[in-house]
Amino acid sequence: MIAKKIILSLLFCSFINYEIEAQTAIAVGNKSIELSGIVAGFYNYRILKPEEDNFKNNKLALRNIIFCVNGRVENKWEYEFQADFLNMSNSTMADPENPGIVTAFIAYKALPVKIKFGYDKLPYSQGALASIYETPYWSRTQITRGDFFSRRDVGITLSSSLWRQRLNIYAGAYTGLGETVFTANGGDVDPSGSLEYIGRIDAAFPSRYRYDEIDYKHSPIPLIRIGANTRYTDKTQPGDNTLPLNVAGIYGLKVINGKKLIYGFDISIAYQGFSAQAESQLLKLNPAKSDDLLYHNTTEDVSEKVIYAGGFQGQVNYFWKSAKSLFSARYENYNTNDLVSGSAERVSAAYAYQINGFKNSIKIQYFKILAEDENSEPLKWTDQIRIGWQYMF
Amino acid sequence: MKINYKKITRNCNSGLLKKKIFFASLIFLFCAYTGKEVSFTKIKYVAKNSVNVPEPSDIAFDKETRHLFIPSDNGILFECDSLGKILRKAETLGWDFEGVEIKDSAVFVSDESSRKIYKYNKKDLTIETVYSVPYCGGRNEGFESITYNDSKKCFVLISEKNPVSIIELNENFQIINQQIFEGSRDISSARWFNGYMYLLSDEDRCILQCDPHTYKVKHVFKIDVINPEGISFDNSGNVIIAADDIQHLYYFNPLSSTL
Repeated sequence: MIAKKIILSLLFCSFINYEIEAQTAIAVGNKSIELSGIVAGFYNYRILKPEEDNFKNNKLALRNIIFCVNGRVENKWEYEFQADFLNMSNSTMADPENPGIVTAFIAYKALPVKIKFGYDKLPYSQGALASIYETPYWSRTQITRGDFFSRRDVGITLSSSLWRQRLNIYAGAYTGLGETVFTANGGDVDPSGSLEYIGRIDAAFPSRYRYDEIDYKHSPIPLIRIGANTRYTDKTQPGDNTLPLNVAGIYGLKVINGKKLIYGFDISIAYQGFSAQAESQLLKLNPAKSDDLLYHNTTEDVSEKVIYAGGFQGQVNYFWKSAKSLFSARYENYNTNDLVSGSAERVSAAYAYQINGFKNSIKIQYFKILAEDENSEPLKWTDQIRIGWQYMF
Repeated sequence: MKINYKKITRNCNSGLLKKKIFFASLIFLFCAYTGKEVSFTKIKYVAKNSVNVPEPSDIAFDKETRHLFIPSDNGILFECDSLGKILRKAETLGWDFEGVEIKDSAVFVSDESSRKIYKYNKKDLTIETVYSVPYCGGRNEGFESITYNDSKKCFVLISEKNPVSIIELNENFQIINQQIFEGSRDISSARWFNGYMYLLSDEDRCILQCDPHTYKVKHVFKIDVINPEGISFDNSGNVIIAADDIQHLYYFNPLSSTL
């Protein structure tokens, strides 16, 4: 029955082939302002383990209702505000992949170094930086979706492009609270008051290479980009103070009471419609208190006062232009705490049919748990399929 | 042992569901494959040159001086020799120059973001007139191309995509006609030459030879250039393509020689 519905839905959508008027811009004098948005939703079907009987995740759901205002004053000033009305109501624990406030920044671009202040994507991890709306996937990998490290934060970012935009350098300082910054402590930061520092460098050859996962232009020459990034913060809480609730994320790794150093490497290639990405991340955590839950009651001899977490992921994609179709498959392997035995492995495959490019597309994503980390992340399901429609206006 | 028939049924169904989805996908892909394409010819460039113009977004060949006028995404108009060496640049800055055309003693430049057309004096590169042409599409999906259609004696502005709009204007840049073009995913440049309208597509990496009256595609030339943003023809009919991301000029033999 479900398969029939899927077939009928896809065939129906394949006949809709009109051009949509995406985005609207108004230019007056030296100013221009652009209005745009995204509506996306899906049907989710989860295959549970035999002993489970709660099918609450088999549902029709909206993913985003985003409205965006982007303005420019000549080529010097830029500002942007993006809000997801669907996810604004979640005030207790912001979903890092679908935050209510998506973007709110101002930037000055008339200097060799671009200065950006406000809330936006952090210059860290190519998998976290790429737009999910320009891939066939409905969700990112566990490593990059925002539970190991934040994807957005309030702060200042300096960036510069050299060597004909093939070399990009980013550096910035942020609150360190990530997507929870607006809700965690009633608008204040955590009692440590310390910042998180992030740096990234990436180089592409032989041409500039944007953060596009899909080679939708069928590049006639092989393109490659390699990147390295790091971030550090010391959120050791002074005295008897504690971190605000809900800032640690589902694995307890995102913000910790102590020092946190992360470094990662990534690579992306594209040629003739084929593209591939790979990325690794390593977290080194030093919780300040010996009874921190992250130590899992291990002694100092065992833990050496350090915890490692992280993982790696790989993805391959192909854009079949004649069929307006994107295909992708990915693998990820991650460990949320090296003091606890076990690690997790997941694969995912995705397909997108482009009614009008990325602006209007049908996307299907299949998830499969290959290996479960039963101690750190016990799951109730084994497979999942998500089919839906995204429309950008 | 108590058997839970409901769960057994569900697990069996999940396997069947996967098979159904697989076959449904095959049927769908078969339906989705359009396969329709106008006849095309693959052409290869015969020479290339690096150019120091940052993000070159179009190119126009000046028949009198054999120089090239190249606008930059950064809002600067450059004059270069035929190999792309910068000779001079205009002092007046725009925001986001995307198209250039030479007509008589003037150089016309379209500014995509501000929806303006700058008319420069070719001799001293000073601004003579600025025209505003309203367009409500996305900021980066505005007028990517400007050319003079000598067959219809009018200027033509073409928006990049979503949708590709071909807008004909009189010499005062007042709109006299417009139509939607569906021959490619996007248009990054346009040039009238020898009785044809040539449109360049960045995403489809091809030159579309079109009827200058109806804009119907006559022939497609596939090119092996990354991110082609500008097209022009020299006095001998050789094709010059400006590539943005890689900042190169590519030179091709006359298209007539390939047919």
